Amino acid sequence: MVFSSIIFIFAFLPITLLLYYIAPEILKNPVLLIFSLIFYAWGEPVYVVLMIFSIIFNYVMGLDIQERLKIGKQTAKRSLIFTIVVDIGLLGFFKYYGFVSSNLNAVLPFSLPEIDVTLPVGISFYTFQTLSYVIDVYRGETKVQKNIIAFGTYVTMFPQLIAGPIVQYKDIDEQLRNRSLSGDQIGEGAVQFIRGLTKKVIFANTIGSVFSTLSAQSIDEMSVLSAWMICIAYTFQIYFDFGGYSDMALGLGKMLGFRFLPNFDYPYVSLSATEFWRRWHISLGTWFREYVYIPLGGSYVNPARHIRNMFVVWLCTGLWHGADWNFVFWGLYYGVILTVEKYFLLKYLEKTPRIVQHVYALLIVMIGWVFFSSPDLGTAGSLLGVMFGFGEHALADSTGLYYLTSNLLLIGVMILASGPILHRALDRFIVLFRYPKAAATVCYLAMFLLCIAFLVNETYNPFLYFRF
Amino acid sequence: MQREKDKKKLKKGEILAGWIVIILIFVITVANIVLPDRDFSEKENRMLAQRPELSVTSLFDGRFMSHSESWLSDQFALRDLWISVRSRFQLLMGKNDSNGVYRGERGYLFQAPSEPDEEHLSANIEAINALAENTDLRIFMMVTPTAANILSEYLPAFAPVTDQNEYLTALKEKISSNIQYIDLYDTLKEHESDYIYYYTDHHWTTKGAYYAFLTAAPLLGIQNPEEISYARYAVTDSFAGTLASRSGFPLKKEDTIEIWVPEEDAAAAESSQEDGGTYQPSVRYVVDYVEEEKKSADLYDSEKLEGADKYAVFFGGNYPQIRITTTNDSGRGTLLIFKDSYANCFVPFLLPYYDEIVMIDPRYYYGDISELISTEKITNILFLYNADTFFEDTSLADVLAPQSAEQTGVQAEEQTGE
Repeated sequence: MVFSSIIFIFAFLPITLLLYYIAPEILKNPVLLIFSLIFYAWGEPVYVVLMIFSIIFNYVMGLDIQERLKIGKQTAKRSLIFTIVVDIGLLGFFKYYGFVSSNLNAVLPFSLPEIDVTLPVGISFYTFQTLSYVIDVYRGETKVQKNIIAFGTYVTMFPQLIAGPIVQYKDIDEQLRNRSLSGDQIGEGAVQFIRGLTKKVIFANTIGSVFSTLSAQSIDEMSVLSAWMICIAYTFQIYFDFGGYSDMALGLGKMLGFRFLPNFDYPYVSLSATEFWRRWHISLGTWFREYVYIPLGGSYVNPARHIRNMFVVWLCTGLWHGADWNFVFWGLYYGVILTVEKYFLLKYLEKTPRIVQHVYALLIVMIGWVFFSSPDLGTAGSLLGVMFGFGEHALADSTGLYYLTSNLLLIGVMILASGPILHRALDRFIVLFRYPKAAATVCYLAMFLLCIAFLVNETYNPFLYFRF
Repeated sequence: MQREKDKKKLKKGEILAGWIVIILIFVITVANIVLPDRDFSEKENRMLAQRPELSVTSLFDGRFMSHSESWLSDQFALRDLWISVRSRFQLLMGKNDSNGVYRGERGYLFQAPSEPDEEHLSANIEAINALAENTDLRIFMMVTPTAANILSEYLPAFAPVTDQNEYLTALKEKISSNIQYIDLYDTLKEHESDYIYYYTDHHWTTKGAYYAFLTAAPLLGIQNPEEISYARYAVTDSFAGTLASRSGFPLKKEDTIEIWVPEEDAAAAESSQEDGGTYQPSVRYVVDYVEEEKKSADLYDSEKLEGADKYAVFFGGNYPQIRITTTNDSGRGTLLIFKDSYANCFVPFLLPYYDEIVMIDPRYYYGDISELISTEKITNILFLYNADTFFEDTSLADVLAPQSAEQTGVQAEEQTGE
């Protein structure tokens, strides 16, 4: 189930909220667990079994590691390694088997059997969550969770289950045991949910359909304008899609009494690729830093090892997003750029005017999205070729002009919404009125009603981060 | 200090807004449960999804979930209102297309011309050519340009529509020389300001069909087609066609549907009404809906004017096989028409000139054509389509060559027998 659907907003959500609110304190986690399992099973009626296995396994292993820690670090470490191997093994099999086997079969004298596995929704997210738990138990950074219902609630909690943010167990341990739920918090959560819903339904879906229409064209006959439109459309689509989803997740979390850490911080205002990654999908970056980069030595080692550490992290980041060469390339692309920025470029870049820095950062990010969104590296190369004027391509054609003119206003609004300007302007606008309460209600109600109008007759509503 | 105050005010406002939306969610949820389900949407002109049935298999393969989702959104309270809110908002944002419909100037809605389905198209042309070469019947083909082609100057600026004429020219070149192609482009272009296409529907008007008939007549061997003059009856002036419903765009203009009746018959009908007797039209005919085993003495079904798809007033819509027998002795014999809905308002003009007309809609017809040709003593064949349907058609080749399909079926059976 996705948040931006009629069935979620007008069936699942009201039933869940009603039962959750009337349930006594002790039953709130069980209610949340049951409804989260329904939420997941709605889209994955079979793979829900895999997720339940993962919950039980990591719960038991958490207890085991805790017990062994009392005996000695070595035996606990063995248990931890076993847990990590099983977790990564499951993720690896379901996510990478097809990719690895097809590439190996091309070079090996014998061939691995072809197994048709579809990726279980959200497995990349919940595997990283359970890993954060067992690792933190081993490190002694969190208490072990003895209550399997509370642990299951952590893993399955529907706001963050299928597309993050990747919540680390230690950040939420206290809230699982004891959280306060106030009327103010519920209202604020609902508003944040509406903001996210608007980003997803009005912005991402509309510009996303432009992207999918234009990229269905043959690249050979594409104009330069159309190629740029494809790139711009995807740049907006992925941010408002994923950013909107994260807003909805945070809002729903608040409505249930949880506080998750923000996942996005206006990434497109960045002045460098390094800054972009501090603002984009923050929970993933944090996870890799804490569980991969720093254990490898981070930056407190000699430059050669540091660069190796960077590349390990960026290779993993690329692969985490998908089992394909273009994701590997995309990860390494950022590995190279961030290394160059750190050792060389940033100090010069900082002396240039802000506008230069901003254009530089946006170009890096947009070229990155071309690799990210293309079905393969060849397509990405051809599209970039058209964008930067290689080969014989018309500067503009009626297709490009039509989609540019008919989305000009939307693109303008999205540029403002990509930074803090639009949000701040809305806040200022609301308090201008004599009755800010009424003004806020009118604004958010209008946004919500418009979203319903789009959802009732939706024709295009994918979730990009579902593949990960 | 002021900022702190503003922040507090804002927060209070947001909390209230949030709660009102939560309450609204509950109200709409209850309304969806309480309000009765509809079977059919007049506005969208389609059947709406109904309550799904729960079973173990439908639960595990996910069908129950997807059915529930379409049921809930199809039966959503005030669905029609939401749809129009959406398309109005999109228009406001400068978007002039919706669901493959362009909103042009002067109130015209256009269906985006279809790209040919190459695989089926070449199979269809092959089957048509095979028919033309294996019979000595006279064969005609009339693929009419659509509004987006003829009235292209009214399309929204830069609308990226495919060039239909390019495909029509290619078609003309590919068909057998035994087929007489009736090119309507010049005629329709000449009359483009003459209300030859509906504003809100993808069909041509009766007037458009009449101009086409005048062009086609000499090629079909009909002399002096102007001889018959027609009385024109506007049967409705509140027709909002399929393009209006598909796009959800607010209506700028409504369409008028006309029925054209030979003046002679019209006069006879009027005088017989005054006498209270029954009149004898110049041509007497029976419309036989073969598969439905239903007969009618009328080309028009006025009941359809009550519904959303008022264009179905012509022959009651599309049927697999319609046979019109007449009292004519024209000397031209029986005409077989392979057609889409564009033919429905065109065929009445042909009626005085043939002894019998058989209309086949290949999308719904599964009979044997060669058998039909011999039993009905067909003398002429006409393929009458609009370009969009013709280039996207997937059924013509199968209908024209069902025997080969049967043969392969027999072979497959024999093989399994071994």
